[in-house]
Amino acid sequence: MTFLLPSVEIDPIHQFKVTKWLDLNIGGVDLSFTNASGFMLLGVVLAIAFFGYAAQKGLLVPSRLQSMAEIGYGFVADMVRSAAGEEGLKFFPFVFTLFFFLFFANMMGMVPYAFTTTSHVIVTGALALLVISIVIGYGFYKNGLKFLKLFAPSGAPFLIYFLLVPIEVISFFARPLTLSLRLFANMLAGHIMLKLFAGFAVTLIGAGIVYIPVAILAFSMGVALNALEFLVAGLQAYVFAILTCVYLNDAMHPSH
Amino acid sequence: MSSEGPDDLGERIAKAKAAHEAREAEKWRKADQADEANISAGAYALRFGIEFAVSILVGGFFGWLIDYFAGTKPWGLLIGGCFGIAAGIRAIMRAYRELNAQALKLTQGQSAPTDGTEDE
Repeated sequence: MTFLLPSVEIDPIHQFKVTKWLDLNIGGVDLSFTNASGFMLLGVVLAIAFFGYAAQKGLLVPSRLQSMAEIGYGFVADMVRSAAGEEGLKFFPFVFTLFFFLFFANMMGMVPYAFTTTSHVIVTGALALLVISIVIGYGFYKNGLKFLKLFAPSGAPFLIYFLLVPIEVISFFARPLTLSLRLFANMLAGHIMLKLFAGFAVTLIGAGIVYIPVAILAFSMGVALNALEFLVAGLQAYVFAILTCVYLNDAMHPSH
Repeated sequence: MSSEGPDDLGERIAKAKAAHEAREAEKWRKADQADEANISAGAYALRFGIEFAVSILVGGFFGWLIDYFAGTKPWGLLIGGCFGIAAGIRAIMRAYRELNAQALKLTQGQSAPTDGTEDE
């Protein structure tokens, strides 16, 4: 029985391999166009196409597509308003772009054979660094040196500051790290799990007829995990965006 | 009573129907709210494990940096790690306070309409 099937090799990490689509080397710097860049670009194009097409007619009574786009807009606007206040709405374009970039990247990752760009810590890390540099830059621009009050909340006894300031500094610098690690780890672990359960089902079928009931079990687990991964894909984009809002709020009002 | 006849009955049925529909709608609205609360609770829960671990790592890293430049070999790492643990606990405490405030707002928001329906 077994030799009828090609030997199934399960390599759950293989899906994360970055391959070069176009070799580019400018001034000794490797700027190759990889599958990661390709899928990021595709996500951007898809997002622009979706919103462009949905908003094209601008009907007073929205069509189905237009109302989807409007719900997305309202969702992000509410998120910014609740986490960063009315003042935070000046960052709405940034948060909106960030959220939908991540959302499209995560959702495209759910398509079989697609590449999940957010499962690479370099992508999420770059985004987190962008967020935190905007927070630091805007914080100093808006509040000047008062931004440093973020590290020294008022109203504590003098000696406590020797403990409090290092703690606050550590938790500030932990932010970009948590922001990037959370998204990256969730996507990586989720996709490995999916591959493992699906591969497990195939291997079990290959192992013989007796194992088919177990294979069905493994497969249904894979189906359930698939649903969970869709939830995680949406949720992680949401978490990333809302934490960005929270950090931006800190930049606007450092002395909380 | 009997003089009012079938008209009254129809009216009463309509009234009961409307009341029932209102009750159902209320139930759905509450379920929706609970769903939303669950999702955001899940989003919050996902934050903390990583936040705590990373705080310790960052604290340890800063301590290690001080060690590296000042040559105080194990002490910076140890003390930095302790500060990291403190930072992690502080992050969780802060989140706990935030969530408490949110839960308070949610229960207050929900108690207002239920009081109204009980009065009717």
